Formats: sequence, C-alpha cells, structure tokens
Amino acid sequence: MSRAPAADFFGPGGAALALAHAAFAGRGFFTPVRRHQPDGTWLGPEGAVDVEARGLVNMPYSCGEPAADRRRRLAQLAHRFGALGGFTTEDTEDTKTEGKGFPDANLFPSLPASASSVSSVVKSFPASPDAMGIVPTPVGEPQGLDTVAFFAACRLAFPQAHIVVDLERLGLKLGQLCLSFGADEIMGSILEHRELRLGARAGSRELDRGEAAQLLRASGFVPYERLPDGKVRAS
Amino acid sequence: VSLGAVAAKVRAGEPLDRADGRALFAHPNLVELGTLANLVRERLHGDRTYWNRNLHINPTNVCVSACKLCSFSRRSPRDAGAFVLAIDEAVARLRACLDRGEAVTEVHLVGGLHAGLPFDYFTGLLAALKAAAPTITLKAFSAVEIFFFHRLYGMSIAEVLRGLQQAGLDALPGGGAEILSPRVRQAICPNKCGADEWLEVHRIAHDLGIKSTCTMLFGTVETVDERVEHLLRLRELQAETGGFLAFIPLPFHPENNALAHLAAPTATECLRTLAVSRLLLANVPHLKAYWISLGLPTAQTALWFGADDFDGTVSEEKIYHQAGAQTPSALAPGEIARLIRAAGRVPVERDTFYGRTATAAGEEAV
Repeated sequence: MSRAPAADFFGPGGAALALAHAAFAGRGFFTPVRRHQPDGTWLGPEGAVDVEARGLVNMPYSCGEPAADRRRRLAQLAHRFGALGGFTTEDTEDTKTEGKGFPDANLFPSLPASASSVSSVVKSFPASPDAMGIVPTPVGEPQGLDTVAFFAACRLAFPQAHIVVDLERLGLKLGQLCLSFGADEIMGSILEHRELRLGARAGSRELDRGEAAQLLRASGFVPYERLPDGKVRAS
Repeated sequence: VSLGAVAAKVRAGEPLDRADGRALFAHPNLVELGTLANLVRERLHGDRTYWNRNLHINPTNVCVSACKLCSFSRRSPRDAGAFVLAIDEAVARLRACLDRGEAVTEVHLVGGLHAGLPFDYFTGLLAALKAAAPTITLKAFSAVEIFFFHRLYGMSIAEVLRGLQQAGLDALPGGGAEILSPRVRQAICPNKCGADEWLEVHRIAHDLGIKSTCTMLFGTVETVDERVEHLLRLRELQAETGGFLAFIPLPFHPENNALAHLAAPTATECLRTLAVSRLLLANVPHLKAYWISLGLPTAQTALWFGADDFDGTVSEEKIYHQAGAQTPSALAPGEIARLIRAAGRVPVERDTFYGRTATAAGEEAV
C-alpha cells in the first residue's frame, strides 16, 4: 500500500513529493535498462529495456547555474510538449521565453508553493503509466541541493510526466534521494542477482530487483517494474 | 503520536520521548521531517555551518576485535596490508600537511586494537605530535580503544585517560558506539566493549574535563526502537555531564566486509536519521553531516535536515574509503565553503571545541 503524504506541507519539495505520488496513484517504477554502445555491443543484460527505445527526454542542468536559466528551459520544454499540468495558457505564453510563473529551481530557500494550488493540480489529471518521461541530467558533477531542487522543479512543471532518475549518472544515494523530491522512477543496471560489493566491485552501482524495489518503498512508493514490452508489473 | 503533536513539543522546546522518536522514524514525508529538524537547527545556529581543518592519522589497522562491520582492520601484524605507524612517520605526515600550508587545527587519531603495542607507544605518539605542533588539538582514541587500553595494560579507565591527557590528549572522538544495544553489538561487534562500557568511558572523560563527540552507526541489523534507545541513552549522559560537543550519525557501508550482503542505508534513510537525531538529541549542540560517510550530495542536503556541521578537510581518511566510500579522500577549504554556500548556508571555520579559529574573519572564514 502506498504511503502517500498529504499535500499541506511546507513548500515545493513536499509539493513535488505529493505530486509524484498522486501522478501514478502511489506507484513508483524501476526500469532495468541496457544501452547501445558505439561499437555495436550492448551494455546491460538481455531482457532489459532499451533506454533509447523508451523515448525519454533529457533535461540538462548544471549545479550553480542561475535559477532563471533553468526556469526558461523548463518553460521551453513544457511549451514544446504542451504539458503544463498546473499552469494556464497565459502562463504558457509568458513562460515560453521568460520562465515567469514557473517553479523556482532553487528549492531552498525560496519557499513556499501554495498548498491549495498543489491540491488542485493533484486532483486534475489522471494517472497513466504511459506518460512521457523526463530525465533530469546533470552536466558535470551533481551536487545535492541543486539536484533535488531541480527534480522538484521538474515535477512541479510536469506533474503528469514520469520524472526519471538515471542511477548511472546520479549514483545510488543521490538517485534515491530524488525519489523524495518529485521523481517517481529509477532506471539503471538492475539485475536478477548482483555480485557482492567486494574488492574491485565495491563501488558498483548495480542493484538487484529487491533492492530497486526497496529504494522506491523507502520513499513511500509501491514498486512496479517496467518491462521491455512497455507493460509494468507489481514487484 | 501525530507529527503535529511532536511539532508542538518541538516548537515549545520540550524534550521528545520514546514514542515521539518512533513516530518520527515512521513518518512518511521526509520533507516535513526535515522542516521540523531545520527549525531546531536554525534556532540553535541560524544559517551558520561549521567546518574545520583536520588531519586523520591511523596508528595501526591491526585489531583483535574482528568486527563484521569493519573493512579496515587486519587480524594479525603478518596479514597483507597490516601496518603500525612509526611515531616519526606520524609526525612527518603532520609536518608535511603543515608544510603544504593546510593549517590544520586538529589531528584525529583512531586505530585498531593492537595487543602487541605498549602504552608508551600511544603516549609517545601524542607527545611527539604535540611537540611538532604545540597549538594543535589532538582528538584521539575512541572509547573502544580507551577501554581496550584499560584491559590490556591493567590500568583504570581514569588512569588511561590521565596518562594520555598528560601526553597531549585534548578530546575524544565518538567512534565505536555503533548501536548501544547488547543484541546489536553481539551481532556485529561481539568483541568490542559493551554499550555501558562505551558510555562509562565518556562519562569518566567528561569528568576529567575531556570533551568528546558521539556517534551512531545505523543501517546494519538494528531496529528503529534500538536507534531511538541509542539516542535517548546519549541524551541521558549529556544531561548528566554536558560533555558531548556533537553527534555524528554514520550510515553503514557494506562494501568489503562481512556484512556485504546487506543493502546500504538509502539517502532518504540517512536524512531521516539525521533529522530525527536533531529532534531527539536537542541537548547536544551540534549535529554533523560527515561528508566522507554520507557522500557530498547527501551531506550538503543534510544542512537542511538538522545538520550544522560539515566536518572538515579530513586529509588522509582511510577507514571509510576501505569500506567503499566514493567521496574524495580530502576536500580543500575553499571547496567546503563553496558547497556550504551553494546550500544557502554560511560557512564558519571552527576549532575542535566550536570556537572560531585564528584564521576566521567574521562569519565567513574562507
């Protein structure tokens, strides 16, 4: 059972968490992926989802960049996809170039968001596991607060989308943390059984399915696995 | 117990009880929990975030304890990778650090439980470091080591501490507490001193005027109740002595040790534990986000979940890196300050006892 938090809390971080739970009825997703390499080989196990075929949209951010730049890019992406869940048409025109009215990507300390507007957004859209997927992608070394703030901003801008954590880029710790700030899906090298983290494998980012499910549960989600045929199954 | 009821107590400055602690650990909304912990953090310290310049030296990794959680120790001096640091070599490391202009104010010394070294080795080590840098603070030997010295050399705990104090000991680090529960200690570190003995060493140290820190290693086999009990036992001793400077929650690293089959605590679990610690341990002034152990992104985020201390430059850390820590082995002062500022906080350079250092200029030392 999902432990969805209430929406009446303290700012965009909490709002993003509530929206992530509301978007897919408390379900969180993990996606074992494999990636096509330039030499024609595959990195990742057979039977995993081809990350390119998934059709995810990369959303780059760099730590320390001005919030206005992020807002503008979020707005441009939202305009392109017509995916402004909680925002009006007027907002769309304003934000297309300026980013006005968009969630502040500097989550702390520029709080709070309106609890009532969050509630209305939560009620206004249907849950669908086939929604578009956005992968916030760090340029350079990701920092903690900038990363969770950007995930929260993405969720607030795209309440109906999957906000996807790429564990290869963010690592297990920071990646999992994003599940408490608006992300609803993790993807990475998720195996039937992983090797113990000993010796040269001590820094491995591989997970087994049980661990992937546990990362989602730790943020209150009911875990579902995404399959290569586009379906999902409860884990 | 609802979060609202706990929040009312926190706002009124009332101490939380066992049931409150359980409720906080069970609360699903991490952001709400963080907001409450941040209230206490800002009440105590505002935006100030402390850090220091410190050097880690491990005298030996030879250890009779064979704890399942450890990736650092070697059972025998003959094992591959076993070492005992010569006193001259330890002094040379400190001198090299100072010669590089690192201006460290603290040397942090912890090591294995080596049954073959005389007490003179440890007093000699402290005295030599102090002679090399008389103004430096020596924070040395966890309660586990002090208790081992007491048993090995047939001295009382107070005699051990006085002997080390006369040689230059200034403060005790808080390691080895793990979880202050006989069940957990039996499972993960059965040969270490017990929970009561760990607390007794700190009690005696505080009575002798030696300040210390305290820790909790979480994420092995303990229950939430055992975490809460651990925190309450620390709070009780702090109420008695006032000798703890800071509390340091340490997530377990399962890499390269006998507990490698366990999953590491998630970042959410780390932040939750820091936040609950801040709320339950309101009488310990500082809460440290030890970046070596948490990882830089989690440690930086922790500055909004109750933590007010980022630890330090930590030159030459080995214990967590042999347990698979992916963090750098040291951070430059400017990098620490940048990370703190990027989190919207104000970096303040401190000494071991949370005084401003001679190099600090106003609030912002770097």
